[in-house]
Amino acid sequence: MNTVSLKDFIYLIPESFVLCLGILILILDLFTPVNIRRKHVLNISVLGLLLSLPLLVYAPPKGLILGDMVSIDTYAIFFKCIIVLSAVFALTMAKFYAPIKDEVIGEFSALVVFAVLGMMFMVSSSDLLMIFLSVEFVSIAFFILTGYIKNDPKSAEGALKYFLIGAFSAGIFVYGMSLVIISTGTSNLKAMSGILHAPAGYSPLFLTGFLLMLVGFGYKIAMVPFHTWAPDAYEGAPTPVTALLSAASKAAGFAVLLRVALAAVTGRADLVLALAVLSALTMTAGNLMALQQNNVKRLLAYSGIAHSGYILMGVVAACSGTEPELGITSVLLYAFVYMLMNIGVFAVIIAFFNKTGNDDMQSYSGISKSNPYLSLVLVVFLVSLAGIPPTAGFIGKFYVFSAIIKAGPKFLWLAIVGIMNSVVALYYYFRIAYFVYFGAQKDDGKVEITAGLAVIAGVTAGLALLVCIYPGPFISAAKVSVLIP
Amino acid sequence: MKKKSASDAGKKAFITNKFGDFGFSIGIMMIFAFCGTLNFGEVADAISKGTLSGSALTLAGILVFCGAVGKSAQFPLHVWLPDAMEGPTPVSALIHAATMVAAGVYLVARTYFLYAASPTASAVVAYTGVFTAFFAATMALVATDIKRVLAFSTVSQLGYMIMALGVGGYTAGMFHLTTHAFFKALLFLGAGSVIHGAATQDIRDMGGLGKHMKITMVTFFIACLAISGIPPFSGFYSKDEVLLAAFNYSKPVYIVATFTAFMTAFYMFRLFFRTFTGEMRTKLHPHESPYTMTIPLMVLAALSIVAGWLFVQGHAFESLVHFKEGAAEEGNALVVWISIAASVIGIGLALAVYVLKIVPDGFFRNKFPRIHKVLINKWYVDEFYDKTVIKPSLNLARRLFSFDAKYIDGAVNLTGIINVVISKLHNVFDKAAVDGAVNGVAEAAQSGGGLLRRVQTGLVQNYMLLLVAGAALAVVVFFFVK
Repeated sequence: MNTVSLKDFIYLIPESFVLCLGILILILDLFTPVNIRRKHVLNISVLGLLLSLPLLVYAPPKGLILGDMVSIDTYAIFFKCIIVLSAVFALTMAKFYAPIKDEVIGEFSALVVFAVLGMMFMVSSSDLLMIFLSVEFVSIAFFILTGYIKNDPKSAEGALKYFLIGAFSAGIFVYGMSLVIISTGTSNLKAMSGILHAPAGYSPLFLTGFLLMLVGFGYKIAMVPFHTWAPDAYEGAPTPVTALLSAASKAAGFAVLLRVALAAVTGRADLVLALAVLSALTMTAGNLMALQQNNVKRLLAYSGIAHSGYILMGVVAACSGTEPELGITSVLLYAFVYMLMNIGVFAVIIAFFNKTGNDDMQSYSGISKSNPYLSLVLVVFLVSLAGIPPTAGFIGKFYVFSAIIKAGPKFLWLAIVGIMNSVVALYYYFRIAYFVYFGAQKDDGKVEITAGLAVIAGVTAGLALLVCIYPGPFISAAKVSVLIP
Repeated sequence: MKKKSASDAGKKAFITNKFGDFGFSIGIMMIFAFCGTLNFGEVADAISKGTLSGSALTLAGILVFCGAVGKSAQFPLHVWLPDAMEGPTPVSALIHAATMVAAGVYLVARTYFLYAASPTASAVVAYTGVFTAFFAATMALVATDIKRVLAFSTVSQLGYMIMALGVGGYTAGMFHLTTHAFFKALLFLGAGSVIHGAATQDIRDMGGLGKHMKITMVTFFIACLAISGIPPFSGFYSKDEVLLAAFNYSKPVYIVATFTAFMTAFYMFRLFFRTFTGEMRTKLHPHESPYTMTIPLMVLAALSIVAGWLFVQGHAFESLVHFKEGAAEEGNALVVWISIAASVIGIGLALAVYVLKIVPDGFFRNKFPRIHKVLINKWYVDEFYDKTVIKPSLNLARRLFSFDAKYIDGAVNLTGIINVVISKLHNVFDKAAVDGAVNGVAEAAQSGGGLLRRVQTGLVQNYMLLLVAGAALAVVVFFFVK
């Protein structure tokens, strides 16, 4: 085992940079007049996060550091890029989201930056203790961010529920973790994998502990039946936070889950089956509940639950042994694609919100007549979420499904459940499009689309199309980031 | 838009294609049964090793070809394409000229290893192609709807490509497919422009439109020259290669193909002269289409002129379809000159009838009324299908329907009811457990309750109960229900 040394911080250049950025923003916020905070403090945070991207990709050497608790590898870097990108987008959105007031925007940016830092550690964690610490770090930041609109009861409600369920599941998670550590004698994933794959490695104590740990992961990725917080939190949270929650927090959750699953689940048929059942349950329940929703943010929360089910298929494929690389690639790719389309769709939702003042589907009636471009972009995202070519969602789904089909005939049923679910999902995505295009027009006021929102929506829509039309670079980026178990 | 006829045409296209797909799917299954794989490369290997050979290979080839027959509107499944012209003109241009109908030709080209290994199968392909080319051209001679003429012409040209593949002209077939896409899309968009400007589709009502629609006329003229195979337009190069391949394969096929080229030139210029020259036959108020319509025409016209020439430079197209430097085809001056002559005679005849009026209009119609009647009725193929396939099917369907209404519907409705009940349950769950609680809390909060009170209403307990129950259930199921 490596001991902790000062040298380790060379590996942590990007993390240190983001930490300094967060502190800098807090200090700047103190000395900046309220009326220009929105402009300057926010811009600096966005710029800083953008700067951390090249640092992430090029600067740090790779290896296990801090007593083997943190692993700097391409797998983590891929997820870190997703996280930083979605935070960049979310902060840019926040600039044009009126309910977050000028007075608090500085702290808001700082919190987002800290959440990013937590998530960066999360995806690099290679030790259960580190995982727990970083997950809680991220959660606390998100609890506050969710409740950020102080005078909106919905925001407070969502935050409180998110917090309570979070605290509760963290308790179960930590309990499960303790059982796992007791039964294997280590908290390090790599060592654990070795012990587990020795003869008689899996003890009932370990299995119980692992299942309880799944509660914690399930909470993080909104897996049924641990998803209950998601609709309330998504609906109540300020929309930029919702976007960040759905894109970055979920990606980070999956990064951790997959890392743990590869160490602990691979080759253990009953655990793989348990994940498969949870996957089927998650996508089915998510989709069915989404059918009934009228609030678009709430609908997207349920849709996000369903998408978690799809990504879980990739995790199942990665752990079932035959072709782990394809399964891992599919999870990476899906996380990226899902980030793109969710960020985009929330950008459009903010633009519509700025006009209509709420997020109900009915209020979008006939909005396409006065806002043709925005509506078209929205449809691109909806098509992508539904997984239809020529959009990124199709590539994501295609990889996940081919991974699960290649995993062998025993998971064919899961693929079929997934495909049936994709059909169900069409209905509620296109219901939004129906209102936008065929609903009776309420007034002909144009949505005042600010340049920033237009850029986010345009860039993500362009990328969402590009990933399908020219997927090569994205797929090879995912392929080189595959974690070798 | 005439909704009824459009939806009928849609059904016709769907059902006709299913006939082809039926054979196609059996062909796929057959290949899988013999080779154990559907990967193109592996199937080709299996054929070269002799795993799939002889009459089985021939049958598989013909069955796969059925799919192409449906999709590329070859005889006897060509009937859907002319009717599909009910759709909007840009759709026709895209789907029926360039993309969808090309799928069948592409299918044959992609599975070329099947036909290369089976002379019988490739003969079926070649003769189907050449017959379709001829057959559709005859119908184009008498059609009076501008889009239908183009539809028949498309069928005919697809026959040409299929024939080229059948006679071993792999490159020629794909080449013609490519150049044809340019000028046929141009023709369709030109027709769209004409319909837009003149508000009719019937060429008997048109005439003299050229004065009012200069850009449309010039581009349409270029497309007509290209499809007739006049050098140096793109159609000349590809048609020449197709005819050369046919010439090397069999003389009767070549002769029919050349005669078709003559008919093609005639009916295209019949269409052109009747639309754009002479006197206006009815009171139309034609006008040139806006730039959004004419710019695509000009782009396509440019491509129709240069595409053929560009692709033969350094055998560019051959290296494209073979992924490497292809072998140079032997030129044959005789074939080239006969092909040009056939086109020129066709154009000349059209000129004589419709512009110079040397041969009176209606001469052929009056001289051979029977043939004209057969052609106008599209060789009675539709009527034949109506009597032999559609009527019996409908009768059977009626009988099945009465059975269906009694027994099957009951079962289906039951499933429906069960589904409704399940989603209602979900709804109830969502409403009662989630929404109900949320709304209850929200109302309670509105009537003065604070944040703490909200926590104590039991709502979050519900959530937690679910969470714990889920975890407990997972553990229990995992250990005890294996």
